[in-house]
Amino acid sequence: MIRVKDLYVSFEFPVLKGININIEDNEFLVILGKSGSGKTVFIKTIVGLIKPERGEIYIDDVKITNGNIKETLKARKNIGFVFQGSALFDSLNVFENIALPLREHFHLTKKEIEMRVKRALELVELEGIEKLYPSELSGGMKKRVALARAIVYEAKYIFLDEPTTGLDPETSLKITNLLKELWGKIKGTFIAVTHDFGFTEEVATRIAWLKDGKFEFIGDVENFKKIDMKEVHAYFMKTF
Amino acid sequence: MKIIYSLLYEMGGFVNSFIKMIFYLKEINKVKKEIIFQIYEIGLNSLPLVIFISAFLGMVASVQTAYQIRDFVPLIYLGAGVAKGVMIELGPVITGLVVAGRVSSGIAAEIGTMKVTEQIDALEVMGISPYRFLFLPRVFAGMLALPMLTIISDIIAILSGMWISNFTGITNYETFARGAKLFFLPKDLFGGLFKASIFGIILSFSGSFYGIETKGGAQGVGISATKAVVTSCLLILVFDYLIGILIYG
Repeated sequence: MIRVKDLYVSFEFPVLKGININIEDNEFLVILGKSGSGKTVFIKTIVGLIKPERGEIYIDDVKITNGNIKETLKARKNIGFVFQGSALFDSLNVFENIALPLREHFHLTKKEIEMRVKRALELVELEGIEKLYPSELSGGMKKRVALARAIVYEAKYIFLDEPTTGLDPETSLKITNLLKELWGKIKGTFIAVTHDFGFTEEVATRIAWLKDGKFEFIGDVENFKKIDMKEVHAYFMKTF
Repeated sequence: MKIIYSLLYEMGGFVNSFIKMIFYLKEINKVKKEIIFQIYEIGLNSLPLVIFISAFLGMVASVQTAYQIRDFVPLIYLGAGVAKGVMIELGPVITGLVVAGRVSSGIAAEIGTMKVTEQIDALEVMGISPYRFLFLPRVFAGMLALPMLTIISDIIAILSGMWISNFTGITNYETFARGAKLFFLPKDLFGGLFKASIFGIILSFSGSFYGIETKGGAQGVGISATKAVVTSCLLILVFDYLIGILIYG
């Protein structure tokens, strides 16, 4: 479980102003909110990429906001992150990209690494592209390779930053279905940030609505739809 | 006041990053393959440029020295002057400056692009330190590649200096070579190579540091590349002076 207590993040101006949430194991939490509301900042703070001004973050009861690098690194072995732009390493091919975290943190044989990479690519339905470089992949394929890299070391928590943004409707739907299926298969906790309500409706077990630096709403899809707010209705209008 | 503060802040960041990288020296085994690749990138790919510049450097050094000494000093000293000048100063410094222009900016642009496309964030989330994964192989490769390039530069410059002095009738091959051998000291050669090693560290580290400090998008990458080259060149000249005093002073 991830516990966030009274989290504040500021740059030149305050972005997150006292976030409190418990992210339960095996749930699919989707964080919604306007552009610039701090959704990405929130998930990047949880994984330790952004230092909070104050507040506490616990990953499996280990406090990672006390500056202990060892604890943070240990917690990160349980974290997979799919970045908005996929963030694949240009100089490495698909196989090397996916194998990198395995080579760095696990004492596996060459054969074991090959098997795990193959399995991860099967899960994202991209068999046989191991030797291609990121520049040779489409946007949708890059997202799936990034997803394979996030799940290859069996991370317990998978963070997804705008997983369907910038994709055509067909590829977007494919990624949505893939994530839903994957979540069912690997029994992990998925935390996604998105603007795509179609995606949210399909996958979310819980929605968190971020507004003015705080969660205005945390609950299921049906209750979210009942909120009488202009910004919330804008999501449905885009979708239907 | 603001400029001084930001300069001190940048210097602090520079030193702090260097210490962080040193901390990962014990894991150098993990990046052996990448070091070899970077030696190829920094060293072998800079070779044509270094050869071209060294050839002209040697010729200029020879002609200019001859012009200055021919009325006062026997021309046997021409070979000594050119060889010593090249080994102690011109070879390492010019190689360092030329490679800084080519490599430092390249490293800063590469790592800077990784920064703005979230690849550095991806490394950190995977628990992989960029100081170990990106800095260490480049800095180590720079440290090894620069002396190799400098040896080649020294040889090309001395040979081209010898050729031009014979070709233009200033002196002949034998006199030039005898002069070069007569006053040769191993300290001249090895001191120059030691300098080259330090320059290799400086230029590859500057590129890495400004790369990871990149902010914004394409414009930020350009600014980082420029900063990396300027800082490399300045530090090469400062360290040239300091090492010069230490070894030859």
